[in-house]
Amino acid sequence: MQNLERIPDSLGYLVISEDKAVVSSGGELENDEKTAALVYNLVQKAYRIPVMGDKRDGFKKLTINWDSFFYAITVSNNRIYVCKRQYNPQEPMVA
Amino acid sequence: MGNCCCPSDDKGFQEQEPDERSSLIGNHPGSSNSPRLVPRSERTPGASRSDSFPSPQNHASQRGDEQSALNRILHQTASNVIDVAAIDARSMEQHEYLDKARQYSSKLTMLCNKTPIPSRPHSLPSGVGNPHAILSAPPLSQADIQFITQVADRTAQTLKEIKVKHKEDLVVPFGVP
Repeated sequence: MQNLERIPDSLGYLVISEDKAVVSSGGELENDEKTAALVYNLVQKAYRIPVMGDKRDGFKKLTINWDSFFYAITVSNNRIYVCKRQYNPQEPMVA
Repeated sequence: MGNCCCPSDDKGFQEQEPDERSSLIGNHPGSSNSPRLVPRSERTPGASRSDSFPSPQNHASQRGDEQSALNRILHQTASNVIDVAAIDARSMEQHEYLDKARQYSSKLTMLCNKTPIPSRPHSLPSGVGNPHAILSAPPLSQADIQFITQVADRTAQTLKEIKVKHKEDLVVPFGVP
């Protein structure tokens, strides 16, 4: 999982298996099973929302944003990949 | 020369009454007390095992014992064995078997189609092929976040303001003559 460590501005990462287990983790999210359980439930709920019109096609990426960081979440190969990243907005605030 | 004995345990060479425990095949050269049968090296278990061959005349009684012991073991084993394949073959015809297989597989596909995959509690879709690329994509812009927040706020506000306005009579007569 070196790939996940090389994501820009990464603060930590999690890989969650289909049965809610933490397969791999690192950084601030190392062995963070609480966050893993929350993310798992969130992903399960989010997949029920049709995004593309086709019901079987769910979201590609889910982000949870705070002022200074955000979680990027995606599903691949029946696993949930979570990356906590620093939030550095490039553009100025639009009033 | 023919050798009908196969190499087996050395224990089988002891001269004793054959029973279920003793190695029956190995007992043939166990008659190494007869030098005629062990031409090269007498009473040497290894040599007698490889060189001797049993003589039916001399060992008829022993063979009879062996035969009965063998039969006993055979019967015992046969009574302990349940031949599943034989039972199946007898009780079910080929076409019956195929019918059942077809019936079960059609039932299975029917049930599988009925159950949608997302409703299973412990399953995830296969998802995207390149999680790394998706996760390293640049974050949402501030403008997008503000837009989403505004739209969500306004939608929530609108939902709160939805009211049922009473305009028509509660009881409506349909075109009953």
